[in-house]
Amino acid sequence: MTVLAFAFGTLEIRDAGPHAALLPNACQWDARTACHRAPAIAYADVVRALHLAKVPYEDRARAYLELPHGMRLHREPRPYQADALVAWRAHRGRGVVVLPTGAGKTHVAMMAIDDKRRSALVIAPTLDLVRQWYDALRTTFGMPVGLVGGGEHDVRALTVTTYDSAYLHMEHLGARFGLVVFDEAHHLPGASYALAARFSIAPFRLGLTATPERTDGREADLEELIGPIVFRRDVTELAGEFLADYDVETIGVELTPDEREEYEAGRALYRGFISRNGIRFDRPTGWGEFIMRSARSDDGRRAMKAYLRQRELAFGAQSKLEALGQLLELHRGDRAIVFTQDNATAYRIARTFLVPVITHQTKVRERSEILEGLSKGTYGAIVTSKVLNEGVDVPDANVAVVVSGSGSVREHVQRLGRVLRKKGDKRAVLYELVTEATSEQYTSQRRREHVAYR
Amino acid sequence: MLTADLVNARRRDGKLHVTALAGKARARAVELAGTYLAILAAHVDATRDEVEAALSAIPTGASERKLGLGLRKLLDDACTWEAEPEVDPAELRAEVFHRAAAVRRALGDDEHFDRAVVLEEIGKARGLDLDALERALFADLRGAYRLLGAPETPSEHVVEAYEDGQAQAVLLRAVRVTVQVDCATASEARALFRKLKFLRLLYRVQPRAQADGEAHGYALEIDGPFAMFEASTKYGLQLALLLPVLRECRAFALEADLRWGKEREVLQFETSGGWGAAKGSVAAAAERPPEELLPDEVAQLLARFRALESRWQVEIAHELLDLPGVGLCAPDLVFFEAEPKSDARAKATAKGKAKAKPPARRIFLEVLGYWSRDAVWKRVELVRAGLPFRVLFAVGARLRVSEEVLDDDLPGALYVYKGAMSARAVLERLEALAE
Repeated sequence: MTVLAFAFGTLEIRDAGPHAALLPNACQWDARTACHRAPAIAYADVVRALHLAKVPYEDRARAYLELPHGMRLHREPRPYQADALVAWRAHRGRGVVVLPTGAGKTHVAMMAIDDKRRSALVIAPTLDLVRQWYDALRTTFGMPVGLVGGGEHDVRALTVTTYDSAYLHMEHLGARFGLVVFDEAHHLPGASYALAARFSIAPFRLGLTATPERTDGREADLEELIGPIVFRRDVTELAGEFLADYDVETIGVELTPDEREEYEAGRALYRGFISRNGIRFDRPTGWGEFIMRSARSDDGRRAMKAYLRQRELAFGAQSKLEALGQLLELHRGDRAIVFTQDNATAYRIARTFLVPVITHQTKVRERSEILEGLSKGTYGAIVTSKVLNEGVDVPDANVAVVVSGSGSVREHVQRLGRVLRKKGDKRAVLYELVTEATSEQYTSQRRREHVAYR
Repeated sequence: MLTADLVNARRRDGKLHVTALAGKARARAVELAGTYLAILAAHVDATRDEVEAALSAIPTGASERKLGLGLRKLLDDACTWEAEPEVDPAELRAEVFHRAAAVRRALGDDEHFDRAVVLEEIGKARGLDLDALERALFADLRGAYRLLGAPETPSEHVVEAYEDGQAQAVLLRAVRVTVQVDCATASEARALFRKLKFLRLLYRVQPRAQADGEAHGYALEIDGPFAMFEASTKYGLQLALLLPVLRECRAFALEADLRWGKEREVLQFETSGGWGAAKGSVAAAAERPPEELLPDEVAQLLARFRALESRWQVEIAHELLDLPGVGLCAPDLVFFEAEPKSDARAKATAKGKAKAKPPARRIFLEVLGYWSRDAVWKRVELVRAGLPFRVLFAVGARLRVSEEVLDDDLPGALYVYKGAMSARAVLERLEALAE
């Protein structure tokens, strides 16, 4: 009899005999182990092919279970959440739902888990989000929830993990879940993380994101790894009724004379280098060429050092700290999240204004305590670099201050999203501090190329 | 372990060549390692940020950047760091930030936040001056860790570790490797295949013929289960971890397919070595008779068996007996039938017994000794699953396994012994297996 077995992220099909021709194209003969082999993601196709051809088989691969019960905590879905579930079901439980931050993507996932009632794994990009999913699943389903990552390895019928841990452990966990939820699914199409999807046999897959588009264009891979985009709503369609109304304000600041002098000197040095070497940043390869050439000579290393310094001056200008101080006093009765491009600036702000800081170095217990403090109002502001860009839920936060950031549209939209969750008649505001007459102005223009800022 | 970005290598003709340290460059590397070691020794009790600043102050040319960073990485791995334990920084931060939030919230419209007031208040309550409080606030950050112990390795050894580490770091970006390996003994081969299994790597194995026509060692193609669908560096760490085991074999030559750099450029990489090729060991390895490399009990059996008068000749085995999908064994010895025993064969054929068995030209012996019961059961499974070789497995009596486990009509048999193996008992079992 044909036997299916899960082996380190792949599916082994033994003793297929004359039925081998019926197997999907993903299955190939593996001389190393004398059996047919397919990526684990092909499990549903293999089972369907054998079933349709009425081939008897023993399934030793499937190690996932039916959940003992569904949701214990029921909440009436918003109309678009119910529509998203219907669309996902219509695609055999494989697809991506695109909803703006704060629109309740988590609840769509809860409904999907309730609908399929199979062991489910939720994969999220950060430990803060893992903690949030852990709490939400435990409350909604009223059962123990497993955790893999951040020093924990406890696998249960409902489990939460990070993309990093999923990449590391899916070759062992891939058979234990019938449904995988990919939170912030735009992370998935990277060369490494994609293996977390390919190493899983889960027939049901749900992707959640506000911004599926990637700068490398690999969002197309989501269709193979999860399924097609089955439902989509933009921020402007939901603002007011389902998301908080918001204002966006860009505040221009000046470099001090000393900073300006150093900025111009640094800029002249590195621009001289790129000009002498014929490097053009308007070409896609320009930046890579600069990195490569700057490493090859002492002149190049000085140019790179000068480039980093002038960028540091623009992103962390002294006037920005002064402006931030004024904003913190202006919004002393609100809940503010301050975002920076780098950890050093985040710690500088924390020391200067004595506000709690969350970076990748902050341990889970302290993160929880800080977020709880912001939620309860014992803290009026917190500062972070990038770890809170995505998904972390602080419904009471109503002020976001971007002290510095990249040119990424996604990052900027996500930072805005942190203060958009609807609560009463709250009105959110996002401040962006930009140093005038520096390259940061161009960075700011690039990141605001989104419907949310028009 | 070095990371791939610290490898000093050049791309040429589709290959990645690790830049070897020789002559002046090597002397400079030893000098640099010595300088770093001296700085570390002088900075015991300093913070990581202070140590980093001191190390970074040593001038290195553009061409030495990776060498410098690589040596620093290896030395950092050998250092002992610890956070300042006096005050719990997380607890202190919570106290300071809560107080600061309360002060800010209570500000009037014309008032401004003053951090000094908050810090003085907390410092006073905790008996800390302002400097100590500022230092303790983030004392648990990586940069604030203190150096408790610096390595005392000679700088020459640090450079040797750097040279060895470069090839290993390259393999972190390997998607598949091919290895020509020559194991001096079955123990070396078993260690290699045990490691492959432990690392969950898959392989194809072929005997490797040399110019003299004799099979010496084998060619292995090694990658992971998923590698047949996509060239992935997922198995790079496992492949890198294999290198120290290969270096324990007599000789190896490895070729790796890489996906190198951010662009994942397809490149080849070659490295070789083994204890027989190590500096100063080549001549010694060539001079040593192969019997001297055998474990004592195998060498004793070999000598005793050769002293017997029998129709069997015995040699050290160099083959691997592989049954894809089931397993593999690495025999220690191989017995050759000097002259076929025609009357016995005719008798056996008449009974119809010899039909299913391969010709009785060679019988392998693998000594499992007192190793593990699990290993014995794996060999039993291998024989039952159709291993196409005649093999005798010598098993220590303490493992409590019966010789009856394998049926007479199978091409494998167990020889259970107490104390030392008997050449005569082995001979009896060879005769039985040959029938």
